[in-house]
Amino acid sequence: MSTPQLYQRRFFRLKNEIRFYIGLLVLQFLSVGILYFLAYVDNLNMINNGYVGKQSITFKIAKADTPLQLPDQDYLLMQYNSIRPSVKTVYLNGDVKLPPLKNQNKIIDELQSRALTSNLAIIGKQVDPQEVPTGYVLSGQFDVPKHYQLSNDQWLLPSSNELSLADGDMFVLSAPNSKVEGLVRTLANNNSVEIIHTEYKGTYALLSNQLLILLFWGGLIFASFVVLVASLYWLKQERAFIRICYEHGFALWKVYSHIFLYKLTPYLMVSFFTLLVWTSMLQKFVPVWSRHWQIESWYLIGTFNLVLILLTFFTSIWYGSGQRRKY
Amino acid sequence: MKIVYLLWKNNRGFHMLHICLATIFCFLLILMAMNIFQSQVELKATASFKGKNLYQLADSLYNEKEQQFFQKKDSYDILKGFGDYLEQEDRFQYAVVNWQPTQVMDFKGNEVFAAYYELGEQVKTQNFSKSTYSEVKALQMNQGAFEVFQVRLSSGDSFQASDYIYTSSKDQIPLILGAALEPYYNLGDTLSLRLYNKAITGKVIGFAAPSQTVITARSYDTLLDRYIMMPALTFNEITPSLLQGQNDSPFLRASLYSRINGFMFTSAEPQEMRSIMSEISGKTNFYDYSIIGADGGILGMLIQVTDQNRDLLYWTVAIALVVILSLYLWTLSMHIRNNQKTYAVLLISGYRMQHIPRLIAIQTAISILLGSVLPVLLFSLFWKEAWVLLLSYIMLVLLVTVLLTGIIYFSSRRTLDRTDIIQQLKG
Repeated sequence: MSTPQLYQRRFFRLKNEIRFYIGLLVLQFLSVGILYFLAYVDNLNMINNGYVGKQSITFKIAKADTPLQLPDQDYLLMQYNSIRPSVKTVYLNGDVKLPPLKNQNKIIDELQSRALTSNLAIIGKQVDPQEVPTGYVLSGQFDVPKHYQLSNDQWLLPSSNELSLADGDMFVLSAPNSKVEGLVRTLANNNSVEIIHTEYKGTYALLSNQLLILLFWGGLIFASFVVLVASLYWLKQERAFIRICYEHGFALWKVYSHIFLYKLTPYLMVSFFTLLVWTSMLQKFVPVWSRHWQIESWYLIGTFNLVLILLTFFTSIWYGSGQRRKY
Repeated sequence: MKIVYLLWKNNRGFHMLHICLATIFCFLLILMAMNIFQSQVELKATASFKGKNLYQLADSLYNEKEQQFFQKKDSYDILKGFGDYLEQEDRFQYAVVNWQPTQVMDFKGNEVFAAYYELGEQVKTQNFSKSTYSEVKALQMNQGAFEVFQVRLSSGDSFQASDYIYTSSKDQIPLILGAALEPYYNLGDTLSLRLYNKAITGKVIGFAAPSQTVITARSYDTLLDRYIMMPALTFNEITPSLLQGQNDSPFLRASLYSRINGFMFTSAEPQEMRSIMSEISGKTNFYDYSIIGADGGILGMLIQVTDQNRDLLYWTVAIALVVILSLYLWTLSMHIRNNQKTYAVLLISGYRMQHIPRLIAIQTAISILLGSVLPVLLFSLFWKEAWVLLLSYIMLVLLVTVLLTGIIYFSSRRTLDRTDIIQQLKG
């Protein structure tokens, strides 16, 4: 075998590899699906908990010496006072998902195109429309027949973006794609903040729901382990090829780069592309509140692929070293 | 058996990987069993008020009306009689869950137990005879409430019937603490309380299991975790000494009030309910109350949320089981395909074709059974009492082992039938 011969694709045939390509891609779909599903369940729990999620931070600002400052990132901020916690002044920014509403599209249009003067109000089913404060136009109702907290809530969406402690000193801040702690710091603008560790109610409080989330993290570990085992079997197929290359006097980097180029690269490219399509499609068609899962997916699949690249390297050494004569 | 060991020795790395995989697989099985088990417990808690209506009683004794009422000589006996009657009535279930912050001396817990913590308030402290008392979250509950909401304990005992009765000679009441208080107190600890300004000692007799909710007048989903639960006290009879104590603290009056401000769970419609209540009023001579919230909306929501959670749970557990099983099968099939040469060698050394699928099946069964040991050990460390769960896990593992071994046996036989071993041997 000569060097030009080695640089031909013929040692790896797509027909032989396709089974593993598909297998690994299915595992990738599955792992990303699990991360998405966790975000989906969290979204459901959040609706049951009055649209306050596990990542949300509840805090109190008793006194503001410097004006409070709304952050530039995407967020949903609820402000209320302890006397009537069910009436919330709500500030939104960027692409945030609202809880289910009747006439969802109409309200989103109104929100986006609202004139400076119109303050909107969204109320729950149990709230009397007469209770909406003057100056707010009732524009929608939460479509959450099963959820106790939102059914009793009133959301007032002012058109101005000026926060005043007169509307309440309690805040709940949630952000779909950034760290909430940082946003709280921006918002507080050097005023002292008292973080409140609220209880998680609704389905969050059900032990079976917590176990379900644990089950899915377990599922993710299982899937990752299957990826590892499958990759090892896949690479083990090349042990004869690696040995022959070494016997012919090819250097390690040559053998490795050959396997990398012809065996891994097609997979890595397809993997990257399908991940891109899959994550954006899920969020587009069935959006969930938190978009952290997308970033997590990129990290996860990145790690999978990195491990695969490293495993290839170590397999090339392992089956190439003189001691491993077994095929 | 010897050949299984030899094969294992020959390819230790991959076999170890398979056992690890089986361990994770069994962990997932145990989690699934726990999930279904837990969801059954939660469904039982809401089942007791399925199809029922919720009515809330509220006394109307305040200001002048209260003064007027207590001018009557037997007013305390009337209040007590009304409360007693409500508890005995069998046309509805009567649950008292009275949200009543209580002062505790040298409270060990942190700020989250403060009565109004969630609304951003600090712990309120007060000094009485040189000791500091903090105002913390507490509930007074009657036996009916424990039954309706199916309150489960993680350790200790529940209240006995006699615990609800207060006599002047009694200087101690039992307490059940919420799960979040478990790090701060132990069973048998005593707490000095001030209940309606009356000094009283509470003894911890139990801890509630985490994540349980009850309905209170304050919130329809009150989580028990941060609460001290005490019995809603009643009296055998209103003695003169109790009446005398009235001058120092509103203990007697408030205790009697708290017992008549409860919830009624019944299938009776509002009209029917009103006639039942007027009948009770006639018998006990107490009329100063109103019935609120005669709609099943809230109960319906609580039930639906639990049901929705169950549906989600069952579906996902079922899908997860199928996916995990097929992933596991896939790795097993990789293993078999990878070992074809070894099987060919076995054939040369005198093995018969039928033996090989059996060998593979035994290998599979051994790795699953080995993998099932660690989860069950860890599990028995944490969940000691649920032997039903343990049993169902063992059944599940056996079932899955039989299923997988069967599939592996038949599929490997088919694969081996199809492959031309002679061709493989030739090279």
